[in-house]
Amino acid sequence: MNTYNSDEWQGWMRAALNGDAGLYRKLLAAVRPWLLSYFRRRLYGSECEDLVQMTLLSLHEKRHTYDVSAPFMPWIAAIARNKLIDYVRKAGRHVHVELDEAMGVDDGLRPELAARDVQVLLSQLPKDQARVIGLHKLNELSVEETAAATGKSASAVKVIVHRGLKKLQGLVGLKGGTNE
Amino acid sequence: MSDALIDDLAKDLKPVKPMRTWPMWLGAGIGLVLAAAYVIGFYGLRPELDGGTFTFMAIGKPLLFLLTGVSALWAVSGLVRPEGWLKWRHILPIAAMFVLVTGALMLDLGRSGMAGVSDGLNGGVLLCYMTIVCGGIAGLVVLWRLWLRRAATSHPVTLGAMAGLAVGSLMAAAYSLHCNMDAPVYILAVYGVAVAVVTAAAALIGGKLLRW
Repeated sequence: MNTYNSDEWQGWMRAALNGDAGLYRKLLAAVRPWLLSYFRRRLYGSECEDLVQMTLLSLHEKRHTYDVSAPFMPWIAAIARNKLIDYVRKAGRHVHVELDEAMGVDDGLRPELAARDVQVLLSQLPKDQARVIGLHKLNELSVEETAAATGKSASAVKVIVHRGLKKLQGLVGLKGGTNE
Repeated sequence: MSDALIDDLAKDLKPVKPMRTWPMWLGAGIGLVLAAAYVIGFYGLRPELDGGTFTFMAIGKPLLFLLTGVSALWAVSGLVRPEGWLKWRHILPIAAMFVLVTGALMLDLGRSGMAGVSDGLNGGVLLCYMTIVCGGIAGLVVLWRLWLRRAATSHPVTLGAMAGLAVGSLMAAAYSLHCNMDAPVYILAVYGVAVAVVTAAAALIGGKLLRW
């Protein structure tokens, strides 16, 4: 797991909003490897560096939306997520969509924030489908255990999971990627 | 490549004013006062208010839309930043208002039947629609020009919808100072649909204009 000093970044961002170019440069330089790691975990291909640059540009253009009293990491993670989704939609590229809450934690996000990323995706699905996927993929129940917990047959669980993951792929603009 | 970009971005960095929500609240307050002044000035107050008699519906109807508008603005304030999120506490009051009016309509249906309920739709429908839709869209344009376009939301359609619901509801609150059609069916089918039109238009616009 990577460790980042988000409190320090928060201080630098506050200073940047007040026009401190030195600390702003320091912040961008510090955020860059985090972004690279964030995108490499999610995207196959060599476009990660392009995405990092696009995200840095967005950070710059949207810096007025940073709430100085709020932590920095959720803000930058949301920008990175939006840039990734936007990029994938436009390019129709293969992307690796993990339904694994630990992935966000590896990016230095707090567990609740990482879990929220997954919940954002799952909330796009019908409640029943999201529950089955949540039990099977997040809580790591077997197909049979999920079937018992939801009162469905094992084959129905398999179908629901398969269709749900397909739908999630569609929601992030995938034409064909892995999602497990 | 990134190093050059970082240098460019940091060079000549200017201080920026962080986005605050108080201008939205202030603008909405001013907009509401202007809308009320327009409604009272051009259409006049409803008879009870004009005569100084404050009946339940004369106060309750404007309050219903005012609370809906304020709740929607609250939701907007929570959505304008990238990490923003639509929380249940933001939309619970809106849902409660909807349930309240729908419940009243059901009671009315049970009491008066379909024919009795549809009597409540007579009068002022076009003026109500036009005022809320046009006033709501005008409010939306002003909100967009002065504040909302600086937003960076992760949920553009939802943010647009909440902004539309807010301005539409506030316009409905202003219009209800004039209108004395208080039947639940009127509130749902006339006010509700007019507000829904503004909400849907704003959701569409939000999806197009607030993209990353």
